[in-house]
Amino acid sequence: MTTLALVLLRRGGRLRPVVVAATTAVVTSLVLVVVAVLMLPADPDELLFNVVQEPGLRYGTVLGMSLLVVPLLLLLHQALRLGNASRQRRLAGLRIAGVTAREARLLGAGEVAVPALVGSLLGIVGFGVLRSVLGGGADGGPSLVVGDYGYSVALVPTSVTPTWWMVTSVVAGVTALGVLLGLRTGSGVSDPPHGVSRRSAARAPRPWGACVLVALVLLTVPAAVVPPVAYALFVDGFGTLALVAVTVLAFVSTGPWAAHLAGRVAQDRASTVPVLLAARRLVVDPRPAGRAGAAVGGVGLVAGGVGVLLGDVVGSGGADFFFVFSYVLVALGLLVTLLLVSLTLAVHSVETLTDRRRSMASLHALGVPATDVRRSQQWEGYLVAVPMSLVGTLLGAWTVGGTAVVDPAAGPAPLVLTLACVVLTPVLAACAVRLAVALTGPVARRVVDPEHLRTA
Amino acid sequence: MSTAHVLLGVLAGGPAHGYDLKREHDARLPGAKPLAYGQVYATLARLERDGQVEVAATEGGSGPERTVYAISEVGEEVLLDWLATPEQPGPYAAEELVRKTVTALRLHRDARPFLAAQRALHLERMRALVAEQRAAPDVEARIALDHTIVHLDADLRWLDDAAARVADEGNALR
Amino acid sequence: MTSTDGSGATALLRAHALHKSFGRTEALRGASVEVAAGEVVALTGPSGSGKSTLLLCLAGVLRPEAGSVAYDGSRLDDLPEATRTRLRRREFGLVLQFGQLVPELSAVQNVMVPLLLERHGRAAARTAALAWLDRLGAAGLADALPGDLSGGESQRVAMARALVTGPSVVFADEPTGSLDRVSGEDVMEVLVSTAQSTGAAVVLVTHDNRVAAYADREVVLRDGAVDDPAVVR
Ligand SMILES: Nc1ncnc2c1ncn2[C@@H]1O[C@H](COP(=O)(O)OP(=O)(O)OP(=O)(O)O)[C@@H](O)[C@H]1O
Ligand SMILES: [Mg+2]
Repeated sequence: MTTLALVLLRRGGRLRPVVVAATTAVVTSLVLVVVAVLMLPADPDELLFNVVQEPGLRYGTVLGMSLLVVPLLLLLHQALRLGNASRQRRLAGLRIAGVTAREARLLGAGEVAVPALVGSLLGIVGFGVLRSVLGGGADGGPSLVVGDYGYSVALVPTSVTPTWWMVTSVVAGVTALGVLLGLRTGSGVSDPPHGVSRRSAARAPRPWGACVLVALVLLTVPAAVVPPVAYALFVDGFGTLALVAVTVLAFVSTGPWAAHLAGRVAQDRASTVPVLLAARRLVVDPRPAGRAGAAVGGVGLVAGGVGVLLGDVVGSGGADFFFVFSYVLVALGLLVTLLLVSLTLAVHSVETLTDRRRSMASLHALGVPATDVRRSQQWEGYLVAVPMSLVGTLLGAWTVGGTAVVDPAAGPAPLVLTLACVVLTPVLAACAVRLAVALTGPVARRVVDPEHLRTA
Repeated sequence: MSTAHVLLGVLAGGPAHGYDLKREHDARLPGAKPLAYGQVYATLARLERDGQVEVAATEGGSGPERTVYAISEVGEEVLLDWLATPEQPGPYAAEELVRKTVTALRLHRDARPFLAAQRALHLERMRALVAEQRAAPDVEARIALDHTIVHLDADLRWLDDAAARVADEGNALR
Repeated sequence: MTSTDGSGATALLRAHALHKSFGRTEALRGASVEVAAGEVVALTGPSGSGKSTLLLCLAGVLRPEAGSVAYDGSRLDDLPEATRTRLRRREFGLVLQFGQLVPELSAVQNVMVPLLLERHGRAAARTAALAWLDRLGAAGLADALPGDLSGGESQRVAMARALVTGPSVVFADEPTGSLDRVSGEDVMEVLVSTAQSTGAAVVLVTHDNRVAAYADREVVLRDGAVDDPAVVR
């Protein structure tokens, strides 16, 4: 059984274990940083950047760091689906050879558990590296000098260290999460081999999430007028948290519907092959792209909100180092998230293309240029990422700023910065899609290889 | 003898004279060997002797061409009986193809040129049959042709298998 | 009918002494074949004899290592990939045994693909694609996804996709390979009669003698070269 597991591990291709290990490593490092921040006493024995140093700001920082885990988990989830079809065939073959359903499940879990564990352990090392690079200390650790002043930009506490059992539980937790996700995506591998093939499209997603979002927007109108409502939603900690939670859920369930809608709209107008292919992929299987779209929408939401706040700060002349660096951190986080999410999308489309390599190769043989296949990946990304980021940014700007953005008393800065965010976020999302598709380019090029045309 | 039964089948559709019988027989079994006139009249004579057909009318002068035959009650019984009875499968007589190939191989002669030439000839015939089938007006004719085509295909496959086995043998010896 | 041996100046497609290896497997060792305009040629031979490889070389999909492929008098094997791709799109159609339709695209969208590449408008492409589906007796399947089609239906759609640009040559690699005899006959009938009416040549790989009999001429491959019975090995 162990030998078999090792053989399987080696047959499964390298990309999947590498991505699984990389994502679990980064997740573990991040969670350990969060744990360390949470362990800090109200008055730490070291100098850190304000968002970590000051207890009042700390929880927002923790929330932000935790949100960074979301795109990583999306990527992990997508990576786990890599090669699912061939793994399914392989395990089905083993089932015929006498492996029980339970053993097949165990083997499948083992394929994920090993790289996930290795990744989590590497995450501890990553945490150590972060501590030494971004760690605080009596002298404030790394700092930036602006004018006559040096500011600490340390983000990782060094005066407190997670205990061994905390580290162990984080490692165990992340590994378990990986295995659970693996079992979920791989469910069905223990089914009999030649069952019903996947036929027509799954049921179209419902627009409930979008309805909730619209309701939320409508809710902000009285909120702007009626102070108690505004207070309950935006100032009271619990109300805000509930609002954020509802918004996130609404976005997550809007994603697939929006992807499906974008696909339908595009397919009815498609006059080129890449657009047609991309649109049909979205219509037939909107969920993976929808999840990524939701994350991009989330990025837009934050970007829009932050844009308005930045406008406020600049407009009121309060832009000191603390604010600027905080916004730089947020912007960095958003950019990384965008790239991760686009990578998710690209990994998904590579997986889809690999699944369909015979038909792709035959399209190529019929005269579809190989670049059209790549372009279809880009379009799939654009169709989801651009509208979602646009809607997200507008929504974020509206929720945070409302009509204050166009208040003549505040001067042009809020409006300009908000508009800049509204334009920039979709553009950046599109760039991230391009970059991600370029990163997966070699795989996409292989799917049109005439080798796949051979009979038997 | 089933030629007799096919003729009885034609007569079951209505009286006919010998010439019509031959034409209808050949039309019903395209791809098979056409029936000779002599055989038609010999068969009719035998059927008349056994009481399975009767002379319905004699048109104009005398001679077999002028005699119109009809099926009798006995004939109908024989026909229905034949239609309901399954046939013995085989045994097949060794065909000329097999005789020739085996004899050549026994003499250690290379049978492949013969096999290839034969394949070309068979495929030529297959092409003609397929063309005929594509032009055939009705499903009965296509079904009748199917039989010939499938048999020809069996021969062709035998030719291919034989060529492959001879080639294998040659490779093994080298 | 053009000259049946496809020789002389009338040859539309001419492959000469092709060699093609995959790793250490020599799939083609000097195969030569000529196809005249409007001619139906069957490539037959045992498994692994190089039929599919020869077909893909003729269609400009694979590049032989030695030898030449000429279409309409000019070589296509040394054209750059992009030019060959465009040539395939305009002049050739391809039908495989199975699995060639894009599963997300409906039948009619699959047929529209080659037209969209040639920048026909969406509406025009759809009209033409529907007309071809109708012509191949698959009009009722226009909006079905490939996963919902039977083998014979898929092949009809695939043929519509191969024929929709009015190609000069249609290549078919075991187009009836996963069909029963009667469905296979239907598919062949449609393929050959449509090709005849549009004047397209057909190059056909098959294991089935009946299918080979739809061709005007048979080319037998053995060990990567055209089998010549006169040569005793
Ligand atoms: N892409 C490839 N990679 C490796 N080997 C290949 C490839 N394509 C073909 N071959 C090899 O080349 C030889 C000829 O293959 P080809 O597919 O042309 O044969 P074929 O006559 O079409 O066979 P079949 O009737 O089984 O389809 C075989 O030995 C095959 O294994
Ligand atoms: Mg082949």
